[in-house]
Amino acid sequence: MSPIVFIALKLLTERKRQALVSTLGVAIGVAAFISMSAVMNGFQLYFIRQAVDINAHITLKVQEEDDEGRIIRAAYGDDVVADVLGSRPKDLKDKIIGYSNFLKQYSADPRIKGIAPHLTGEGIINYGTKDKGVSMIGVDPTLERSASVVDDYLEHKNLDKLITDRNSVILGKELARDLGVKEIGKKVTIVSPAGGLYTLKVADFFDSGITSIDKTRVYFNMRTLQAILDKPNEVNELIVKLVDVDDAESIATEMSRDTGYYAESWQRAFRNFLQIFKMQNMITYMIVFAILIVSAFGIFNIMMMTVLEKKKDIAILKAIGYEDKEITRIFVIQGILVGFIGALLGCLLGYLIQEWLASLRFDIVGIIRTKGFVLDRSPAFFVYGFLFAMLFSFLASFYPSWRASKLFPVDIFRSSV
Amino acid sequence: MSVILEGRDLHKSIGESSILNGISIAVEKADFTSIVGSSGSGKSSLMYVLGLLDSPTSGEVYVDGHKVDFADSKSLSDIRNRKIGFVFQFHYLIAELTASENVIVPMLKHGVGRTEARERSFSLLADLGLKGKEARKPYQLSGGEQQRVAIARALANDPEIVMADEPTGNLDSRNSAMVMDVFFELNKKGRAILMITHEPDLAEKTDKVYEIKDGLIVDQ
Repeated sequence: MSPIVFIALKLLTERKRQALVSTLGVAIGVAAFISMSAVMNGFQLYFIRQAVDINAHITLKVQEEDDEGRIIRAAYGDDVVADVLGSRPKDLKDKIIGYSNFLKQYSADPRIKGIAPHLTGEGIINYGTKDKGVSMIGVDPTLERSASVVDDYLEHKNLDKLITDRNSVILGKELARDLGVKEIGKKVTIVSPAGGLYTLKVADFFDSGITSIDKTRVYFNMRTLQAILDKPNEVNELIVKLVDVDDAESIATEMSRDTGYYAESWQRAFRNFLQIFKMQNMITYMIVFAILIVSAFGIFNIMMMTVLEKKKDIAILKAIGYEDKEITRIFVIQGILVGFIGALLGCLLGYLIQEWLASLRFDIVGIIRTKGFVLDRSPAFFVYGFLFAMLFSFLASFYPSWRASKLFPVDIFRSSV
Repeated sequence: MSVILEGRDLHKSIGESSILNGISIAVEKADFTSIVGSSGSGKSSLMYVLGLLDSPTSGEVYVDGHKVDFADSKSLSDIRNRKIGFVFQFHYLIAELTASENVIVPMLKHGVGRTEARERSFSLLADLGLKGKEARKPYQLSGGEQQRVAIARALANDPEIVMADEPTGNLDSRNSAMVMDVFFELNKKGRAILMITHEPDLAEKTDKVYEIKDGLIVDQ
């Protein structure tokens, strides 16, 4: 063992209370980082995974924005400068023309796992005296399986019922609860935008865990919905499942360019949520960093006090031949040791907190619905927590250590007399 | 006899005030030299310069015939570690270390192995009458014992010269006599000692006495 480490260890271990306080400070900071990151990231990843899987990695659809300047341009040409104060939205041609060609073309793309057509529309569902506005989705059950994971979230796995009995529907679990539909086989009435009434049988319940989806969504056989909406053979969306979800942005741009339709990646579709998550992460990490900074100040404070208290020891160490850089190291090593032990304890504590959080069972009802916390128990949080603690401890101990090395022994010997 | 430490025309000023005004002094092997003077005369400043703890404003210091380069801090640390042992009025023992560990610290810096350093520290402490007290912390020792541990630490690397700044200034007469006996014993064995004191009685017992007044040697 080098003399530097020997002295550093002695000074540290003989001042147990101070060492313990700073070590605990670091441990709490690291544990907070690990557990908070697991909770926040777990929630976000769960939401993204569910939402992306249930919806689509890319949705190809008709652009919803109306072009307000089209009439002016048609009348006066492209060079006219005009500010349109108002325009009645033009009926959009809400269908994808030649969608079967797109299905063929993109099914062959190795980057694409599956593609399925959707017909979507708004309607009202009625059960007894209760009415609810719903988002209706007509699917081709066979193709749907290749492009989404809707099957995974069906309580009775009855997606094929939409084929065998075209007058059946699948209701979102929360919607069914709101309506009071508690079992399959019950009949509900659908009111189309044109006012038509259609009685259909509930074939299954859909429980994704995303409240906004489960509260509004109703699945139909494509043909059934085409009949209800009076849109024979029409689809207005193609949903695409990718091999790599991170490719969504670039493939969506490519699809938009090739088809002339609007291809929306999941990042774009959920940009509001992603933005909120970003903010949420920033706030979480700011809090955690504040905790780590407080612990670093704890180390800094204790190191500064130690340096002040150990002035005479520093003077004698210098007198007997220890160099400035060695004095610096004696104190930096103490800070790093506190950081190291604190970080290890913090990792252990963080792990135990994660275990405890994972064992809790209670209903969380909000943007998502789960039983207890959804945790992201990535080892990366332990690594980052450990590294942050080491870095903060080093930075916190460096200045006091450097100050110690700059003490002039003669001044201390003189002032002691 | 060979000169092991020499200061030539040493000047030291701090701000406007001159502390050393051209002192030349030589310490030979096995010399017991004392420097006396009243408070503020510059005797401690002289020891700090000769002990390479402080640099002179002008003048030169030679150790073993080699001129000391005060700009080379590594070499200064090395010379202090190997060739000079310090004893101060206060013991300056590290409170967290045992008597033996305090003695070990300079040896470890010198590159001596832990086991050898430990054995040597035990032997030095035994020579100074501290056998059985090696594992005691400084607060568990009396003032005289603490000062003897400090002397053992000064002797750890077998230095050519021991510099003592008022080594008995903080001790009662019994302990003072005991510490002085240790110094005389060390000197008898051939170790050069340079002692700063304001007590003429103690100085008279040494081989050479220099009296300093206003930063100058006024009597030898």
